[in-house]
Amino acid sequence: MEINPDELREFLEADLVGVRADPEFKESLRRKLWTLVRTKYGRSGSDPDPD
Amino acid sequence: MPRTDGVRRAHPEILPDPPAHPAPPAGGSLEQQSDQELLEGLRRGSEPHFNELYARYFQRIYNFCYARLRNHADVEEIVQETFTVVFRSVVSYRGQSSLLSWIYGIAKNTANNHLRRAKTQEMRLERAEPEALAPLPSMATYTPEEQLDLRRCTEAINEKLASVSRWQAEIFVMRHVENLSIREISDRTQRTSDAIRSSLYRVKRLLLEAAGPTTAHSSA
Repeated sequence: MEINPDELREFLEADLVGVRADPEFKESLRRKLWTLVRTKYGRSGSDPDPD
Repeated sequence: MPRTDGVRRAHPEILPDPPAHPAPPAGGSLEQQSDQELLEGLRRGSEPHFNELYARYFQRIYNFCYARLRNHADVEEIVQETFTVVFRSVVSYRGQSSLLSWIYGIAKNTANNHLRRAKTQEMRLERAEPEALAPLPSMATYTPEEQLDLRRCTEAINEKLASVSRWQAEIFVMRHVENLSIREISDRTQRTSDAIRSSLYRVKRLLLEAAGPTTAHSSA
């Protein structure tokens, strides 16, 4: 996915927006994503499937 | 000497419960690690590395999406979709571009897809709205006073519906006017069931606030 400088500038300028996310949403999403990552990668990258 | 020290010495196999967010590994702060180092840690299944990566980019993605969409409900949806794609695909990220650019590209495409969907949904909502607010046939049996109350309620609800985002209003119509199931709405709108339920709850709360003082009858 290529990004041109204008788009990247837009992204960096958005840092000035300073709006706060709902902390509950942030934490809920973190838990969901960690479950996804844990399922995908297991406890360590080298762990085989139990069976 | 604290009791816990004595217990640990007597029973070294007893370890304290791990904290909800495991402490970063010894040997340096995670904040000082590069994105690549965090990714390697994540691929090894390290939760602290994952947490640091998530924290590093969450607010930036949120800010970017909010700057485009200006609506927290929509932004939460887009942020969730973005990070889900990021962490599902992170194994295939090979560092051709910076991680910032890569994540940004995913966020941009997700936001653009959302805006495209919203345009289509806007047309559907415009078709649905008159049906959603038309008086029910049974109003003929209401007294003039009751009919006036119901009209006021309808106006208040309409005003509230106009203040939510298009896709939220459309989902509300699909559920409560067209009587579609959550799954059917999910299939039509390509949104998750969680996002749909969350949206319906928010809109319902808004409408109940609008309808509360103007209803003549309380409805179940």
